[in-house]
Amino acid sequence: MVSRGLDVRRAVVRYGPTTAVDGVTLHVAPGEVVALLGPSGCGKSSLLRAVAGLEPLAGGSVAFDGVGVDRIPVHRRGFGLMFQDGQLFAHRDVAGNVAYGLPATGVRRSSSRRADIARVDELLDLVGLAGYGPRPVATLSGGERQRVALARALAPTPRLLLLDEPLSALDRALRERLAVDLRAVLVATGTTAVLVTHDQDEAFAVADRVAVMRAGRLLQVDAPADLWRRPRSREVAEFLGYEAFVAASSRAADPLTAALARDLRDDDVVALAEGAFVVRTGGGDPDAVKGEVRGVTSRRGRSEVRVDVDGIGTVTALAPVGARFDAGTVLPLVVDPDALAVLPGSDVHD
Amino acid sequence: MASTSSHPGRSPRSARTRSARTRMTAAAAAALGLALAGCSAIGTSSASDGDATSTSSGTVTLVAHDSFGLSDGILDDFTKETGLKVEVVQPGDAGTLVNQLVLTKDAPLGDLAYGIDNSFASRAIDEGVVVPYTSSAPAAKDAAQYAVGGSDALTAVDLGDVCINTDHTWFTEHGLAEPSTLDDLTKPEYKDLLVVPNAVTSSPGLAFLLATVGAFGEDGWQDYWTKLKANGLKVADGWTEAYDTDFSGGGGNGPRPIVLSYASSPPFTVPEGGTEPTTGALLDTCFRQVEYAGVLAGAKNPEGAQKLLDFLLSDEVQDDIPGTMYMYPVSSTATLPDDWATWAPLATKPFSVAPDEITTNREAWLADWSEIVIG
Amino acid sequence: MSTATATRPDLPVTGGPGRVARPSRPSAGQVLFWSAAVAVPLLFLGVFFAWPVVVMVGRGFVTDGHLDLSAFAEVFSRPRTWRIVGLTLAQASIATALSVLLGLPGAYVLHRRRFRGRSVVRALVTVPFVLPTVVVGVAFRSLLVDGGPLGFLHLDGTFAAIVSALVFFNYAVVVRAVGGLWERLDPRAAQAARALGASPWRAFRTVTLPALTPAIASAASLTFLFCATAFGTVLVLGGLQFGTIETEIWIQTTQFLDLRAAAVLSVVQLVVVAGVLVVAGRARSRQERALALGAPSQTVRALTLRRPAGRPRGDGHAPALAAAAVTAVVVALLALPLVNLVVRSLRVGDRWGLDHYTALGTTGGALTVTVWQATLNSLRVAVDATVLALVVGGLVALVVSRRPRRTAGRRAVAGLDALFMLPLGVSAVTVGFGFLLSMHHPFGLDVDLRTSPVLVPIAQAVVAVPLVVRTVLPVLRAIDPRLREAAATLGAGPGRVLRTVDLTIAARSVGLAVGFAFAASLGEFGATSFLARPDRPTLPVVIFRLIGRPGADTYGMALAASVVLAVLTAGIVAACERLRAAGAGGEW
Repeated sequence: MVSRGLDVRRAVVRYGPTTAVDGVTLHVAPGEVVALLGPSGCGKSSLLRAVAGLEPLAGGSVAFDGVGVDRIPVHRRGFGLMFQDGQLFAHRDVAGNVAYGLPATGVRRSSSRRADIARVDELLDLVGLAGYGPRPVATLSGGERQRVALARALAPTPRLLLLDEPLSALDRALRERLAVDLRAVLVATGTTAVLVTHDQDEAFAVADRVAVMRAGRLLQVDAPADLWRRPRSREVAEFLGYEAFVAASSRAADPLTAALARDLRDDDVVALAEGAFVVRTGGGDPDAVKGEVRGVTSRRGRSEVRVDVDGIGTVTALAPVGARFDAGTVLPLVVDPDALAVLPGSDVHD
Repeated sequence: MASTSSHPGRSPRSARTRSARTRMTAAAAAALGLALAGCSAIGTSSASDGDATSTSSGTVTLVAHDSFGLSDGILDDFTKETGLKVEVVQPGDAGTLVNQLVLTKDAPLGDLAYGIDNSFASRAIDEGVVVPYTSSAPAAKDAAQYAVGGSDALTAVDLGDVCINTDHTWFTEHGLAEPSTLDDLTKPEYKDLLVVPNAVTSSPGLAFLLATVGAFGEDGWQDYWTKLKANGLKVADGWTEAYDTDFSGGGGNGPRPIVLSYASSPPFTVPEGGTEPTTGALLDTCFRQVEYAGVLAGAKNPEGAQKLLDFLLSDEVQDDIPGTMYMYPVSSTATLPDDWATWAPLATKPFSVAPDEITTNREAWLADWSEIVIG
Repeated sequence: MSTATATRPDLPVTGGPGRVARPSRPSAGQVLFWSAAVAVPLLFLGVFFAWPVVVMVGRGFVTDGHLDLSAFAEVFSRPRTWRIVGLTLAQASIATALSVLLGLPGAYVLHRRRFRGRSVVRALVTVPFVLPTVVVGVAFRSLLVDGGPLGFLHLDGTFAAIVSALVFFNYAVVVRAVGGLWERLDPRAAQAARALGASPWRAFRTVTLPALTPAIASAASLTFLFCATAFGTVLVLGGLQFGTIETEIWIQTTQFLDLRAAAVLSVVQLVVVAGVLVVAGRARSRQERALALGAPSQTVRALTLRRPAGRPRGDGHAPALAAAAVTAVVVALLALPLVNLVVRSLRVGDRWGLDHYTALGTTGGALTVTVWQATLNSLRVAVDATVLALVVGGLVALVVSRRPRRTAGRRAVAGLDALFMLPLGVSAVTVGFGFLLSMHHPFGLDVDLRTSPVLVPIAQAVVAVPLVVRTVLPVLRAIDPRLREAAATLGAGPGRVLRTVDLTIAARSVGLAVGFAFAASLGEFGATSFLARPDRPTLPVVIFRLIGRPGADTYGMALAASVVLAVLTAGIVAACERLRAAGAGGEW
């Protein structure tokens, strides 16, 4: 049976004595977008470069549509690649960049050239830069550069698009807007893609599935929602931003299990993300969880309160807009089950 | 930081290298500082120069070509005798010297010029670079026979013969008889064996051109050179290249056994442990070069210049000339090194061309020569 | 991870209301400093270069107190003049093209790849650049002469021999200038092209090469200048048959004293040189376009003979090997004359020995000082020349690194840059004779500089300044202006910004600049030979005098002294190579 799409089997990448990728196996189905998510140095970029053919594999194999590509050099793999800082060619204008990978570049046949010009216009339109063709790349803003880089990478219709931190160099507002656009373009073109990022929001916004990578290995590969709800290990959960962990058997976990409304095994662990507690503003409930205020910050108008909860530790609770509390105040808190995840006590029971 | 992350092993090493580099930079800065304090040419020399300039009456400046040199202590003896300190300035080679003197005649480089040869002598006199002076030194009588066109502005100091030299070893090995005259060099058996320095860029090269002018006349030398060229003549840039690279008997073991050099060259080819030189000079092919000294017009210290010129004709300097400048002293009473008498005699009948004729025609001759030989 | 030489629009711009107000009117101290920074180098160049040249050339155009330009018509009516101009352009262009063609693989292998002994090879290729031409002439010709190791090529006295010698001298110029940029060039641009379907060759041609173009242009212009003004090499290897403008100026000046012809030729030379500088300046200014640069530690890969495991065919390993092979052949060819030199310096009669080296402690019967004393003289002169060149060249680089807001200001800065390159393109004879004419009581001072030892380091510094500028300038230009702004917002005055930002960063390239200035001074012979005093001759002057004497012993001594000069040079270059901090590349 021929497996369609990208198949990475036990890939190993080494730099001298250092092993950057340590036996990774990953499948990407046609039309699917998978994000490799992990902290700096986890080996995600090395894996991407190995798939592109820019780093030699020290072990394992990479295949596409059932055909091994290990012996095929970069330029014949038909994989597109987009870098964090675009790597636009400074000596070509926008259209020249986009047309670089098209078959007729350098060919004098006018029919192919006309086809190229049409393709360039189509792609610039797709990334929202219609009419930018003749502009020198030096005049572009950071966001525009990345759009051009995306158009350029998509132009030759790659069978697989590899994106190396495509939005990381941009500021947050722009990044969030572009992530949505990127997803839209990838879906619209039906492009199979692997995206490398250290930014969880970016991964969740763009990808169909997210692969969490750490120290050269894949820890978990799941759809964003599943990943968020069911991190397989404390390591994954910590990376996703879960900030406190409580054994299901401890008394402090009681209000949490109650909120989850399900039975937990004794060796399960409950993980708390930011906002697992919400400051209660209504009437007093003597049984409510109590937290002592350590400090208050604000995010998009909403107050975030660092509170000390007995048996759990310091966590971030959400409060209404404009709420102000003095340090030392004890606040009643309610649990938001959407910000809780249950980690199985042992990885074996999955 | 994706790309640093893929090379986890790199950062500590680069940090180490950087600190090593910093140390080395510091060390280099320290070394430079020391060098500045102790080794500066300007720093160590300016004081003594200041003295020299301010007491110019106590110094006499000799402007010489860059082959000038005397044994240690000889110029000190002059200072002891006269109280005058000698500054030597060597702004270029023999060919360049006269032109430099002509250019700077409004503000001469020194007091006495030495090293003007007979091919440039007339120009120096005509341009008024040197002023008349008749030396009273004993050797002045010997020098007088080389006086240029009846002028006493230039005094002969030494002389030498520019001659064809042959590599005896090569001719013995090849069982070929050596040539002996200029005409022999155009014979087929000596095809591709001769190398001479360029007449335009080298003063022995010019001397050899003058030898052929002397031998074949003003209208005959061109034919001779045409024949030489047809016989495989090689022209090297200078004496050094001809003798050290192309000549088989020089330092470089080159391919050609016949070279233009000096009558005084053979003694230098006596091999280690041997008694006879491996090369010889053909005394029927020579042009005589005479080197003159003259008091510069506008000299700051003309009296000092005259004293120094007399000193150049003294036995002390005349005896020293063969060993240091490879020329023959003009003085008939000076002693020659033993091996010179045996292996480096002067030609008895060298070719000659009158200095004023040289000055008149040199440029035209060189142009013709270039045309014929270089093409 | 990467820095850009120009503004990067994707980074937040420090500006807006929080920005410290740009000083609308510079303080008196600033005006004073920048005026001095412009005036001191201009004065130096004016007094010790422009004035002598103008005086010398002026002599040719003034007859009986009247300007007489008839010499132009006369000189240009000679067919010889046109032949010489043609030969000059042909030699310089072909040698430059070859230097670039061979130098590019060299730059790649020696700067983009890592292998054992790389620093030794880098130092080795620099040695020819600073060897005196008379030594190179002997070393080169004894290889090419009939019966010599390469005699079978029958290259002796041919155009090809001159061109190969010029390449021999200038290979290092290309390798260093291009390699300095290449080792910092972000490889991902080429990788992006590869991923778009470009073969390794196409990616090189369409992405890497355009990025390297400014450095190539810079190297080519330097090489062209050196080739167009080559003098000793041309005479020794080709004689007058292949005369150039430079050799013709030398002959007309020193042999015929035809100052009118020499003046015309000097003007022609100046026009050719200025043309080259303008073209190079245009190409260089394109370097100011954003280039993503990385630290060499991230761009340099190990060089392996076998294709690394897991790397497919057609992935650039073969071209890399080809580059390595070309470089190996070129380095071997470069080494041949040098090895020849060493071998011959060890030949004593029919046996081997160190006799010639022992003799360096004597005057060899032909010198006024021992060779070691001359070496010491050379080092002392080089120290002075280096300090002068650093001060003057540093100031020029500082001024030229600024980008004034007004067009006129930018043009002035570019002009200053080109002006200080001129000493490389003007005949040493013109400068040397110009010194003789102009340095007698300059400005009415009661000093005769012509015969003063002070003039020697000054003359050498004039030649070294362009090398210092080309080395320090790219580093200063690469300083992110935001760094200066940051220092200013932290309360640093303009003086302190200069000291703490510009000078500190430029200091990283000073090691390299010191090395080149020092090496150039050690090897300088042209102008020095007109100025060196016999009591203080430099090493090249001593070598020249030794080699001009008959006798196998003085010849051997001359070769041994040349080896000392070569080793000294290579050592200094290698030491400076180590001093060069990461990322502080030089372009010269």
